[in-house]
Amino acid sequence: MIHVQIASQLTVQGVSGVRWVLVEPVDAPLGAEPGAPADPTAPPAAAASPAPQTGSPAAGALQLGALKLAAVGLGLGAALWTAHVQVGPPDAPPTAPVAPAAPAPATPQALPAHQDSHGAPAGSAPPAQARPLPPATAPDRPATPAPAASGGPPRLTASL
Amino acid sequence: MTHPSSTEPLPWHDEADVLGVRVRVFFFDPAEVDARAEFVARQVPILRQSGARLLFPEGQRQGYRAGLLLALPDAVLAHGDGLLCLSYKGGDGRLVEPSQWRAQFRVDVMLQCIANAMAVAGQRQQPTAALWRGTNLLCQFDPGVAALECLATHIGAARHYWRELQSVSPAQLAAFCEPRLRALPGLADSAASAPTAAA
Repeated sequence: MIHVQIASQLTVQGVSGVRWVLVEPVDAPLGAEPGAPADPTAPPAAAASPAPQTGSPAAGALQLGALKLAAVGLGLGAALWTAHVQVGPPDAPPTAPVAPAAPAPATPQALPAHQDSHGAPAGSAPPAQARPLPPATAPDRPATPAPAASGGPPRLTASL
Repeated sequence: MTHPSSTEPLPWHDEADVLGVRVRVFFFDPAEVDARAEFVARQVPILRQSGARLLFPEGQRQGYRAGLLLALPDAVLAHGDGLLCLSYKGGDGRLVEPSQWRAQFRVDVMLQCIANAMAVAGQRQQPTAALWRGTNLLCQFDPGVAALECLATHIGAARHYWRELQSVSPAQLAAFCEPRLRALPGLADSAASAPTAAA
Protein backbone atom coordinates (compact mmCIF):
# COMPACT_ATOMS: atom_id res chain seq x y z
CA MET A 1 0.00 0.00 0.00
CA ILE A 2 1.15 3.50 -0.73
CA HIS A 3 1.17 5.91 2.14
CA VAL A 4 -0.33 9.24 1.11
CA GLN A 5 -0.03 12.24 3.41
CA ILE A 6 -2.07 15.35 2.81
CA ALA A 7 -1.13 18.44 4.77
CA SER A 8 -4.02 20.09 6.50
CA GLN A 9 -2.35 23.33 7.52
CA LEU A 10 -0.03 25.81 5.89
CA THR A 11 2.36 28.11 7.65
CA VAL A 12 5.01 30.42 6.35
CA GLN A 13 7.67 27.86 7.17
CA GLY A 14 6.04 24.73 5.87
CA VAL A 15 3.13 22.37 6.16
CA SER A 16 1.66 20.74 9.23
CA GLY A 17 -1.26 18.67 10.42
CA VAL A 18 -0.84 15.67 8.21
CA ARG A 19 -3.78 13.48 7.26
CA TRP A 20 -2.90 10.20 5.67
CA VAL A 21 -4.58 7.49 3.70
CA LEU A 22 -3.47 4.30 1.96
CA VAL A 23 -3.71 3.87 -1.78
CA GLU A 24 -3.62 0.51 -3.51
CA PRO A 25 -0.46 0.15 -5.58
CA VAL A 26 -2.10 -1.95 -8.29
CA ASP A 27 -5.54 -3.13 -9.25
CA ALA A 28 -5.57 -6.65 -7.83
CA PRO A 29 -8.62 -8.13 -9.66
CA LEU A 30 -7.27 -7.46 -13.11
CA GLY A 31 -3.59 -7.94 -12.37
CA ALA A 32 -2.60 -7.10 -15.91
CA GLU A 33 -1.02 -3.75 -15.40
CA PRO A 34 1.89 -3.29 -17.74
CA GLY A 35 3.48 -0.79 -15.38
CA ALA A 36 2.62 -2.58 -12.19
CA PRO A 37 5.49 -3.24 -9.87
CA ALA A 38 6.32 -6.85 -9.23
CA ASP A 39 6.68 -6.22 -5.52
CA PRO A 40 3.56 -4.70 -3.96
CA THR A 41 5.67 -3.29 -1.15
CA ALA A 42 7.89 -1.42 -3.55
CA PRO A 43 8.07 2.32 -3.00
CA PRO A 44 5.86 4.50 -5.20
CA ALA A 45 8.87 5.72 -7.12
CA ALA A 46 9.35 2.18 -8.32
CA ALA A 47 5.73 2.09 -9.35
CA ALA A 48 6.25 5.13 -11.53
CA SER A 49 9.32 3.72 -13.17
CA PRO A 50 8.90 1.08 -15.84
CA ALA A 51 8.88 -2.06 -13.75
CA PRO A 52 9.69 -5.46 -15.27
CA GLN A 53 6.78 -7.35 -16.68
CA THR A 54 5.16 -9.77 -14.30
CA GLY A 55 4.13 -12.21 -17.08
CA SER A 56 0.50 -12.02 -16.17
CA PRO A 57 -0.72 -11.39 -19.74
CA ALA A 58 1.18 -14.43 -21.06
CA ALA A 59 -0.11 -16.60 -18.23
CA GLY A 60 -3.63 -15.44 -18.96
CA ALA A 61 -3.25 -16.26 -22.66
CA LEU A 62 -1.90 -19.70 -21.81
CA GLN A 63 -4.77 -20.36 -19.46
CA LEU A 64 -7.24 -19.29 -22.12
CA GLY A 65 -5.61 -21.53 -24.71
CA ALA A 66 -5.61 -24.49 -22.35
CA LEU A 67 -9.24 -23.85 -21.58
CA LYS A 68 -10.09 -23.81 -25.28
CA LEU A 69 -8.18 -27.05 -25.87
CA ALA A 70 -9.93 -28.70 -22.96
CA ALA A 71 -13.31 -27.63 -24.31
CA VAL A 72 -12.50 -28.94 -27.80
CA GLY A 73 -11.18 -32.21 -26.35
CA LEU A 74 -14.25 -32.69 -24.25
CA GLY A 75 -16.49 -32.11 -27.25
CA LEU A 76 -14.48 -34.51 -29.39
CA GLY A 77 -14.54 -37.14 -26.68
CA ALA A 78 -18.26 -36.81 -26.26
CA ALA A 79 -18.75 -37.18 -30.00
CA LEU A 80 -16.53 -40.28 -30.15
CA TRP A 81 -18.28 -41.82 -27.20
CA THR A 82 -21.67 -41.21 -28.76
CA ALA A 83 -20.53 -42.74 -32.01
CA HIS A 84 -19.05 -45.70 -30.14
CA VAL A 85 -22.29 -46.33 -28.28
CA GLN A 86 -24.60 -45.93 -31.25
CA VAL A 87 -22.52 -47.37 -34.10
CA GLY A 88 -19.81 -49.40 -32.47
CA PRO A 89 -16.05 -49.45 -32.69
CA PRO A 90 -14.59 -48.25 -35.96
CA ASP A 91 -12.97 -51.59 -36.89
CA ALA A 92 -15.89 -53.77 -35.83
CA PRO A 93 -18.27 -55.25 -38.43
CA PRO A 94 -21.22 -53.00 -39.03
CA THR A 95 -24.15 -53.79 -36.84
CA ALA A 96 -26.74 -51.95 -38.86
CA PRO A 97 -27.66 -51.96 -42.52
CA VAL A 98 -25.19 -49.93 -44.48
CA ALA A 99 -27.12 -50.05 -47.65
CA PRO A 100 -26.05 -46.62 -48.80
CA ALA A 101 -22.53 -47.95 -49.39
CA ALA A 102 -23.56 -50.41 -52.06
CA PRO A 103 -25.57 -48.53 -54.64
CA ALA A 104 -23.06 -45.78 -55.14
CA PRO A 105 -20.54 -47.72 -57.20
CA ALA A 106 -23.11 -50.05 -58.66
CA THR A 107 -23.87 -49.98 -62.33
CA PRO A 108 -27.32 -49.15 -63.66
CA GLN A 109 -27.94 -52.82 -64.29
CA ALA A 110 -27.45 -53.65 -60.65
CA LEU A 111 -29.69 -50.93 -59.32
CA PRO A 112 -32.98 -52.79 -59.57
CA ALA A 113 -31.61 -55.59 -57.42
CA HIS A 114 -31.25 -53.16 -54.50
CA GLN A 115 -34.77 -51.91 -54.49
CA ASP A 116 -37.02 -53.01 -51.74
CA SER A 117 -40.51 -54.29 -52.04
CA HIS A 118 -41.89 -50.77 -52.32
CA GLY A 119 -39.69 -49.99 -55.23
CA ALA A 120 -37.70 -47.41 -53.40
CA PRO A 121 -33.95 -47.50 -53.72
CA ALA A 122 -32.14 -49.05 -50.81
CA GLY A 123 -30.09 -45.94 -50.38
CA SER A 124 -33.18 -43.91 -49.69
CA ALA A 125 -34.54 -46.27 -47.07
CA PRO A 126 -35.51 -44.42 -43.93
CA PRO A 127 -32.96 -44.98 -41.20
CA ALA A 128 -35.73 -45.54 -38.72
CA GLN A 129 -36.13 -49.02 -40.10
CA ALA A 130 -32.53 -49.97 -39.55
CA ARG A 131 -31.93 -48.50 -36.11
CA PRO A 132 -34.43 -50.49 -34.03
CA LEU A 133 -33.13 -53.82 -35.30
CA PRO A 134 -30.67 -55.57 -33.04
CA PRO A 135 -27.47 -56.77 -34.62
CA ALA A 136 -28.56 -60.38 -34.50
CA THR A 137 -31.54 -59.73 -36.70
CA ALA A 138 -29.80 -57.65 -39.25
CA PRO A 139 -28.46 -60.54 -41.39
CA ASP A 140 -31.94 -62.05 -41.66
CA ARG A 141 -33.47 -59.06 -43.35
CA PRO A 142 -34.03 -59.02 -47.06
CA ALA A 143 -31.56 -56.80 -48.84
CA THR A 144 -29.38 -57.14 -45.78
CA PRO A 145 -26.41 -54.90 -45.34
CA ALA A 146 -23.93 -57.75 -45.39
CA PRO A 147 -24.43 -58.59 -49.06
CA ALA A 148 -24.75 -54.96 -49.84
CA ALA A 149 -21.62 -54.07 -47.95
CA SER A 150 -19.75 -56.89 -49.53
CA GLY A 151 -21.23 -55.97 -52.81
CA GLY A 152 -18.19 -56.98 -54.78
CA PRO A 153 -19.70 -60.06 -56.39
CA PRO A 154 -22.84 -58.34 -57.65
CA ARG A 155 -20.74 -55.52 -58.97
CA LEU A 156 -18.47 -57.97 -60.70
CA THR A 157 -21.44 -59.80 -62.12
CA ALA A 158 -22.91 -56.58 -63.38
CA SER A 159 -19.64 -55.68 -64.97
CA LEU A 160 -19.51 -58.93 -66.80
CA MET B 1 2.90 45.42 4.39
CA THR B 2 3.22 43.11 7.35
CA HIS B 3 3.67 39.40 7.05
CA PRO B 4 2.75 36.74 9.54
CA SER B 5 5.45 35.10 11.57
CA SER B 6 6.28 31.48 11.04
CA THR B 7 4.07 30.36 13.91
CA GLU B 8 1.01 32.41 13.04
CA PRO B 9 -1.67 30.96 10.82
CA LEU B 10 -1.78 32.36 7.36
CA PRO B 11 -4.19 35.24 6.80
CA TRP B 12 -6.96 33.36 5.04
CA HIS B 13 -9.97 35.54 4.39
CA ASP B 14 -12.60 32.87 4.77
CA GLU B 15 -13.07 29.16 5.19
CA ALA B 16 -15.88 26.66 5.00
CA ASP B 17 -16.62 22.96 4.88
CA VAL B 18 -17.54 21.74 1.43
CA LEU B 19 -18.36 18.04 1.09
CA GLY B 20 -16.13 17.10 3.96
CA VAL B 21 -13.27 19.31 2.84
CA ARG B 22 -12.15 22.35 4.77
CA VAL B 23 -11.68 25.09 2.21
CA ARG B 24 -9.66 28.16 3.06
CA VAL B 25 -9.69 31.06 0.65
CA PHE B 26 -7.47 34.05 0.18
CA PHE B 27 -8.55 36.89 -2.10
CA PHE B 28 -6.16 39.17 -3.91
CA ASP B 29 -6.09 41.81 -6.57
CA PRO B 30 -5.19 40.05 -9.80
CA ALA B 31 -3.96 43.22 -11.45
CA GLU B 32 -1.32 43.60 -8.80
CA VAL B 33 -0.47 39.97 -8.18
CA ASP B 34 -0.27 38.91 -11.81
CA ALA B 35 2.34 41.59 -12.41
CA ARG B 36 4.76 40.03 -9.96
CA ALA B 37 7.79 38.42 -11.46
CA GLU B 38 8.50 35.78 -8.88
CA PHE B 39 6.46 32.60 -9.25
CA VAL B 40 5.51 32.07 -5.63
CA ALA B 41 4.52 35.70 -5.15
CA ARG B 42 2.42 35.54 -8.30
CA GLN B 43 0.79 32.13 -7.99
CA VAL B 44 0.75 31.62 -4.23
CA PRO B 45 0.45 35.20 -2.99
CA ILE B 46 -0.30 34.17 0.58
CA LEU B 47 3.19 32.66 0.78
CA ARG B 48 4.87 35.61 -0.84
CA GLN B 49 7.67 35.91 1.71
CA SER B 50 8.08 32.21 2.36
CA GLY B 51 10.84 29.93 1.24
CA ALA B 52 8.68 27.90 -1.10
CA ARG B 53 10.45 27.04 -4.33
CA LEU B 54 9.50 25.23 -7.50
CA LEU B 55 10.74 21.69 -7.93
CA PHE B 56 10.83 22.14 -11.69
CA PRO B 57 11.00 25.23 -13.86
CA GLU B 58 7.77 27.10 -14.39
CA GLY B 59 5.66 25.58 -17.11
CA GLN B 60 7.40 22.23 -16.97
CA ARG B 61 4.91 19.67 -15.78
CA GLN B 62 6.00 16.45 -14.18
CA GLY B 63 3.88 13.34 -13.85
CA TYR B 64 3.27 11.86 -10.43
CA ARG B 65 1.82 8.45 -9.76
CA ALA B 66 0.31 6.84 -6.70
CA GLY B 67 -0.86 3.39 -7.66
CA LEU B 68 -3.20 3.80 -10.59
CA LEU B 69 -3.62 7.51 -10.04
CA LEU B 70 -1.52 9.52 -12.47
CA ALA B 71 -1.46 13.29 -12.10
CA LEU B 72 0.13 16.16 -13.97
CA PRO B 73 -0.13 19.08 -11.58
CA ASP B 74 0.55 22.56 -12.85
CA ALA B 75 3.30 23.11 -10.30
CA VAL B 76 4.85 21.41 -7.28
CA LEU B 77 6.76 23.44 -4.75
CA ALA B 78 8.94 22.44 -1.86
CA HIS B 79 7.78 24.22 1.27
CA GLY B 80 9.62 23.41 4.46
CA ASP B 81 9.55 19.68 4.96
CA GLY B 82 6.49 19.29 2.78
CA LEU B 83 5.24 20.01 -0.69
CA LEU B 84 2.66 22.26 -2.26
CA CYS B 85 0.67 20.85 -5.14
CA LEU B 86 -0.67 23.83 -7.05
CA SER B 87 -3.21 23.93 -9.82
CA TYR B 88 -3.82 27.22 -11.58
CA LYS B 89 -4.62 26.41 -15.18
CA GLY B 90 -8.10 25.07 -14.52
CA GLY B 91 -11.24 26.97 -13.77
CA ASP B 92 -13.30 29.24 -15.94
CA GLY B 93 -11.25 32.39 -15.46
CA ARG B 94 -14.08 34.33 -13.84
CA LEU B 95 -13.56 36.73 -10.98
CA VAL B 96 -15.02 35.39 -7.77
CA GLU B 97 -16.98 37.73 -5.60
CA PRO B 98 -15.69 37.38 -2.02
CA SER B 99 -19.19 37.35 -0.59
CA GLN B 100 -20.39 34.82 -3.13
CA TRP B 101 -17.42 32.55 -3.45
CA ARG B 102 -19.24 29.50 -2.16
CA ALA B 103 -22.00 29.89 -4.71
CA GLN B 104 -19.40 29.97 -7.46
CA PHE B 105 -17.29 27.26 -5.93
CA ARG B 106 -16.57 24.24 -8.11
CA VAL B 107 -16.43 20.97 -6.25
CA ASP B 108 -14.92 19.14 -9.22
CA VAL B 109 -11.94 21.49 -9.25
CA MET B 110 -11.50 20.97 -5.53
CA LEU B 111 -11.52 17.18 -5.81
CA GLN B 112 -9.12 17.30 -8.74
CA CYS B 113 -6.68 19.35 -6.69
CA ILE B 114 -6.87 16.90 -3.82
CA ALA B 115 -6.33 13.97 -6.17
CA ASN B 116 -3.35 15.77 -7.68
CA ALA B 117 -1.91 16.24 -4.21
CA MET B 118 -2.50 12.58 -3.40
CA ALA B 119 -0.49 11.49 -6.41
CA VAL B 120 2.33 13.86 -5.55
CA ALA B 121 2.35 12.80 -1.91
CA GLY B 122 2.24 9.14 -2.86
CA GLN B 123 5.19 9.31 -5.18
CA ARG B 124 7.32 11.73 -3.21
CA GLN B 125 6.37 10.31 0.20
CA GLN B 126 6.09 13.77 1.67
CA PRO B 127 3.13 15.59 3.19
CA THR B 128 1.56 17.64 0.44
CA ALA B 129 -0.89 20.51 0.60
CA ALA B 130 -3.51 20.89 -2.12
CA LEU B 131 -3.82 24.41 -3.51
CA TRP B 132 -5.82 25.98 -6.28
CA ARG B 133 -5.21 29.44 -7.63
CA GLY B 134 -8.09 31.08 -9.41
CA THR B 135 -8.29 34.47 -11.06
CA ASN B 136 -8.53 36.41 -7.83
CA LEU B 137 -8.44 33.82 -5.06
CA LEU B 138 -6.23 31.12 -3.68
CA CYS B 139 -7.75 28.06 -2.05
CA GLN B 140 -6.23 25.50 0.25
CA PHE B 141 -8.09 22.24 0.61
CA ASP B 142 -7.92 20.24 3.79
CA PRO B 143 -9.82 17.02 3.11
CA GLY B 144 -11.46 15.20 5.95
CA VAL B 145 -11.28 11.48 6.49
CA ALA B 146 -14.41 10.69 4.50
CA ALA B 147 -13.36 12.68 1.45
CA LEU B 148 -9.83 11.35 1.52
CA GLU B 149 -10.94 7.75 1.90
CA CYS B 150 -13.54 8.13 -0.80
CA LEU B 151 -10.91 9.32 -3.25
CA ALA B 152 -8.32 6.76 -2.19
CA THR B 153 -10.62 3.75 -2.29
CA HIS B 154 -12.30 4.49 -5.62
CA ILE B 155 -9.23 4.75 -7.82
CA GLY B 156 -9.62 1.24 -9.21
CA ALA B 157 -13.36 1.59 -9.65
CA ALA B 158 -12.91 4.91 -11.43
CA ARG B 159 -10.43 3.32 -13.78
CA HIS B 160 -12.90 0.55 -14.58
CA TYR B 161 -15.68 3.10 -15.02
CA TRP B 162 -13.67 5.18 -17.46
CA ARG B 163 -12.31 2.05 -19.17
CA GLU B 164 -8.74 3.11 -18.70
CA LEU B 165 -6.06 0.46 -18.98
CA GLN B 166 -3.07 2.07 -17.35
CA SER B 167 -4.19 4.76 -14.95
CA VAL B 168 -6.90 7.18 -14.00
CA SER B 169 -6.53 10.94 -14.02
CA PRO B 170 -7.49 13.24 -11.16
CA ALA B 171 -10.29 14.69 -13.28
CA GLN B 172 -11.73 11.23 -13.87
CA LEU B 173 -11.39 10.29 -10.22
CA ALA B 174 -13.03 13.52 -9.14
CA ALA B 175 -15.95 13.07 -11.52
CA PHE B 176 -16.39 9.51 -10.27
CA CYS B 177 -16.23 10.39 -6.59
CA GLU B 178 -18.24 13.60 -6.49
CA PRO B 179 -21.69 11.93 -6.57
CA ARG B 180 -20.53 9.40 -4.02
CA LEU B 181 -19.35 12.12 -1.71
CA ARG B 182 -22.63 13.93 -2.11
CA ALA B 183 -24.45 10.73 -1.20
CA LEU B 184 -22.53 10.26 2.04
CA PRO B 185 -24.66 11.15 5.02
CA GLY B 186 -23.71 14.42 6.63
CA LEU B 187 -21.44 15.64 3.88
CA ALA B 188 -24.07 17.00 1.52
CA ASP B 189 -25.32 19.28 4.27
CA SER B 190 -21.86 20.71 4.77
CA ALA B 191 -22.01 22.31 1.35
CA ALA B 192 -24.96 24.40 2.47
CA SER B 193 -23.63 25.45 5.86
CA ALA B 194 -22.62 29.00 6.47
CA PRO B 195 -18.95 29.75 6.02
CA THR B 196 -16.91 30.58 9.05
CA ALA B 197 -15.36 33.98 8.77
CA ALA B 198 -11.67 34.07 9.50
CA ALA B 199 -9.09 36.77 9.66
